[in-house]
Amino acid sequence: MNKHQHIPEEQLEEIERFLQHQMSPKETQSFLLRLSADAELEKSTNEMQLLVTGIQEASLQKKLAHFHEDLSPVSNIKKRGTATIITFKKALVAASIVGVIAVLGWLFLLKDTKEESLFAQYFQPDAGLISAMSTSDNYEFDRAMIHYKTGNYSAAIKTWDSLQTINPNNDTLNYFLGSAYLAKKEVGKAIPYMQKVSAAPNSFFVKDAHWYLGLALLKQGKKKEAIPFLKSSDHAQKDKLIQKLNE
Amino acid sequence: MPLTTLTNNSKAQEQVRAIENNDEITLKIFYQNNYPKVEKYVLENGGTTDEAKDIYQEAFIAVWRAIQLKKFQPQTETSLDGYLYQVARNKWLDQLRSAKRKSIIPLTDGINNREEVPDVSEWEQLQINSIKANLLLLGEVCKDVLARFYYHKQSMRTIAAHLNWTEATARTNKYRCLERLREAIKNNKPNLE
Repeated sequence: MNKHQHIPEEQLEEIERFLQHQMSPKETQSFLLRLSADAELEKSTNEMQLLVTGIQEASLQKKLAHFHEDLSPVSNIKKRGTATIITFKKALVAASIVGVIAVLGWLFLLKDTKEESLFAQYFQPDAGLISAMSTSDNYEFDRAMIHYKTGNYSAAIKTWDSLQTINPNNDTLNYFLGSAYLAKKEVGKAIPYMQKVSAAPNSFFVKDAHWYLGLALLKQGKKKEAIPFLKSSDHAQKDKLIQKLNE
Repeated sequence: MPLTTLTNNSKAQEQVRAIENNDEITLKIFYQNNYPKVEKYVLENGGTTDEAKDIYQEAFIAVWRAIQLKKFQPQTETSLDGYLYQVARNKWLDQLRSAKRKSIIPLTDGINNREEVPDVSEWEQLQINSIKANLLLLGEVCKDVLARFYYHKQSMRTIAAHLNWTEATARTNKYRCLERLREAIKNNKPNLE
């Protein structure tokens, strides 16, 4: 590396194509033959490999800080049954709407808004699973989980949907498809998935599915249908929510 | 779960290809999945969270580098995770052995069982460090062009469009930037061999 020999642009691009696996098998074979016979070419190729690695490494190092910053939400995975309630900005908006409508005495709409408001107050998207690429059977599932956890619900749905077509009864897929649709507030699409998980008594997700199904039904204004599911969930806030619904 | 279908070996190959191509999501998953175990090890062996982070990032770069330079080819995804853990652990053991740390004693699994793992040569590491140091001396545009082309694998057309150049200009400028980098390395580190 310390002798700076001239590498013509054309040759440099050829070396780059070799290093980046952009050559056809035939080209690669012919390049390798030349490499073994041409010491200068070999030297240039080795130099380029280190240069490319060094340039890339400088970029990667900058990325690591971001990977680390994002670590908390990924590593502090939800401990099931202990999720806390977050008052979303949306809840405040909904609450203020309720206030205005109450003043107007528009009772019918008030009823709907109260339920919506409670949904907004009590709904928090499932935190997701650890994306254990090393242990999971499916790499695509894990990639989609990262999308989910970074709020890119549509991308997650796209992947999980294609996996669900092959595994229609997989409770994990159904649960997270439902969760992703709920996080997008597409309640109508979320409900069938949550219903499927709710109907599988042995599923690890069954209690959580009850909670989310109850909330989804609540958002649709179906309070009577929602309450039994909320009751059979094991969510820490279920009694409080049910009490508010009964007020 | 279980979901479908890929064999361990093809998954490992896919993961390696993605890492070679600097696929952001793969790198991030790989980084984030393996950090907790290393942090636990460092904390249990006299280190702090900051030290765990530093050691882990060094190890992560070392593993990425070994993959780029074909020094390590995992047979399964777990072997890649295991490799990263071992590299991090070795780095922490080396740090503990340093004079500053000699007073710290108990290790959860013994200081003497440092396992050798495949690595790039010391000479290659020096070269790469020199490249990175000299890269800093280039202008912002050159750094940007080289990072886009080599790290982000952007096409010349994309780079040209981004910088409002023609494709031919982008190609020439990339070549010139690389030549400047080579020249800087030659001038600043003449006797590394």
